[in-house]
Amino acid sequence: MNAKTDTSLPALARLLGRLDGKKLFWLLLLAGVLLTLSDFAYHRHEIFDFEALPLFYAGFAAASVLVLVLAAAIFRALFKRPETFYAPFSTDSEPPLKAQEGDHA
Amino acid sequence: MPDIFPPALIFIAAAIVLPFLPKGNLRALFLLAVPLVAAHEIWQLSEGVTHTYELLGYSLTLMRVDQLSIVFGLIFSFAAFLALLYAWHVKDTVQQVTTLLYAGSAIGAVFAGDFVTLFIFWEGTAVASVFLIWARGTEGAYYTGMRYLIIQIASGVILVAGMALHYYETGSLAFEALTLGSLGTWAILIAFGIKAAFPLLHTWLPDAYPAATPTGTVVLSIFTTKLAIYSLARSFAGTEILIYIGVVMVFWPLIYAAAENDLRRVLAYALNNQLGFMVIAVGIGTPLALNGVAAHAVAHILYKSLLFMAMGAVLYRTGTAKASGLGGLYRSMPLTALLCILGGLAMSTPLFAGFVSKSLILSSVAKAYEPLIWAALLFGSAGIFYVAGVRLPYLAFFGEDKFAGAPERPKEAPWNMLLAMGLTAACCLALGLLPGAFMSFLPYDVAYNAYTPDHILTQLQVLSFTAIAFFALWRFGLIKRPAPGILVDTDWLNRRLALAIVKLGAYISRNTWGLMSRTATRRLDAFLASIYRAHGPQGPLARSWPAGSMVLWIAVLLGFTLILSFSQSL
Repeated sequence: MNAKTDTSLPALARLLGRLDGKKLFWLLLLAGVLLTLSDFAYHRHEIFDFEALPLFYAGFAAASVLVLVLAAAIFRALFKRPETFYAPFSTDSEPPLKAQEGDHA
Repeated sequence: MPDIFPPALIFIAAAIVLPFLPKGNLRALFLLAVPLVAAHEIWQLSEGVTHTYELLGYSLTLMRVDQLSIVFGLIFSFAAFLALLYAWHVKDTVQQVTTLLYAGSAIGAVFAGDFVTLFIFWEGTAVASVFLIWARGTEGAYYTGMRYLIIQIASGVILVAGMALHYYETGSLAFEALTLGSLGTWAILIAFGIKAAFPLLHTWLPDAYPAATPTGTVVLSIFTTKLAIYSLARSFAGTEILIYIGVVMVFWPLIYAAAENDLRRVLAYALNNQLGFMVIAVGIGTPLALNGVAAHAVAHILYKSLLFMAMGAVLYRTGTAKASGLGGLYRSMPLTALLCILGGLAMSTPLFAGFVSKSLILSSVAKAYEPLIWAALLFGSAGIFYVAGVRLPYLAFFGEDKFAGAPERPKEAPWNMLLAMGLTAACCLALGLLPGAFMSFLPYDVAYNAYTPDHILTQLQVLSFTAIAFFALWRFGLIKRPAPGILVDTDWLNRRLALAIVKLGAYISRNTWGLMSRTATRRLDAFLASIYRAHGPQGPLARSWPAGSMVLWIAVLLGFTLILSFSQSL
């Protein structure tokens, strides 16, 4: 069942369910575009020359994520090993902890 | 006799008393009262040297109070309160006692006025904290704890060596500003650098923190690294090499954080990245930068605790904190999800503490006109928001519902965890909403306004496009839920390569020794056989054996006697 309309879920969960879809992306994009347009609406006080480049902050952030995602992919390709790699000297391959159900009222 | 009881000793005295209290609500209340009493004591402190003592003929300073130590002492006390509230349900006396000793040692180190006192509390943090890892009670946790303990103790040993060399060179034991140059000061910097997780000295952090108990990791995340940042700010402010060390700390752990599957390890790497911000600011060393260090230490302790608390709650309820086994948890843990999102926002969003503290650091770097360092920090700001503010909450709480077919969904976090997380989030918000009050606590009197239109709009652009990039790349399949597995870090060098070298060395020496001993035995056997052939019953010399041998040995003895007599007469 759709989490947004599942009445068995808490109200907050239904609200958060709205974040788990396409709508959030479009809302973020709209906010991002509006924020970027603000660059043209007022004069920013730059300290470094490159800050004056159009869409500098938006572009820098998006490029940073892209670089990071690519670097992470390269690191995964080079350095990823099975969870048992250091066993039994690490906790990585140990069974999950016992999930706790009790409420500490 | 000073009126104020040293806050560190409050924690230590409470740790001694605690085992005698009955387990339950009374003990939990007592635990919560201890950091509040200590914080009250710190609040009452006035600047100056308030407590001294004599040790082996040296006059040492137990309490040196100034605004820098007060800021760290207060945040350590308050964070201990939040962590103990989060751990209200824990009945394990060992964890309770060691948490008090750990917090007390960290606060004792912050107020130490000399290197001997610092060393005592420095080692106190190492020994007390390892029990929070061992409390997990598994074989892997035991070995992880041993690795952690060895490196933490090594930091103390290097500190004491540096202290001795520095004393030999200058005649001073004072824990104060140092000029990097001598062997002693380098040793002290390395000792601080181990606890601050400098590059190549950092692997204990992502190794140990995810191995502790759900509550233990929250406690661990508060003290050790921030104590090291405090020590660097105290002794090495303005040391240029720290800027470059900090830049590496911003980049390297961020890539690991972006690739890791274990979300508590993601946070450990993210913590290391944020330490890089503080190390850079220490390297810049201006009053504005040092205010940034203190402010970011406070903000970072709060928001990182909140994120560790959220992941601890997930681990507590589901048994795992690995992204490959999580997803869709907002359905049954909505409050934890919301508080985790707030923790992510608190890192750098306007209205939260992290925005104020990061603006201070970025402005101090800009004022020092370091464009490349500034760009590295901007990359770090976007990167950390991607890693811990967007990717981590999304992987844990959203996306594919991994518990859809489970007989019972994980429950919401217990009340004490929610209350601790709620209070922590409220603190992040309060410090962000009241920047003036926040600034008034900082060590230096520097006017600064974080809430300029420039700061707010540029930061919101960075954050929104970081999130947009994440969701776009997720949609195109360029970011995926990670598969099970670990990423080996530079600790592979000591855990695998060094071990392999030692094993190879042992193999070579064992075989070389075997070869040498076999050759020697063969040669000796051949020599003895040749003597036997000459002197044995069947040998050609056997015919004159008794008289010939006696004459030979008498001649040898006479010769020795002659040499000895001659040498004595000289």
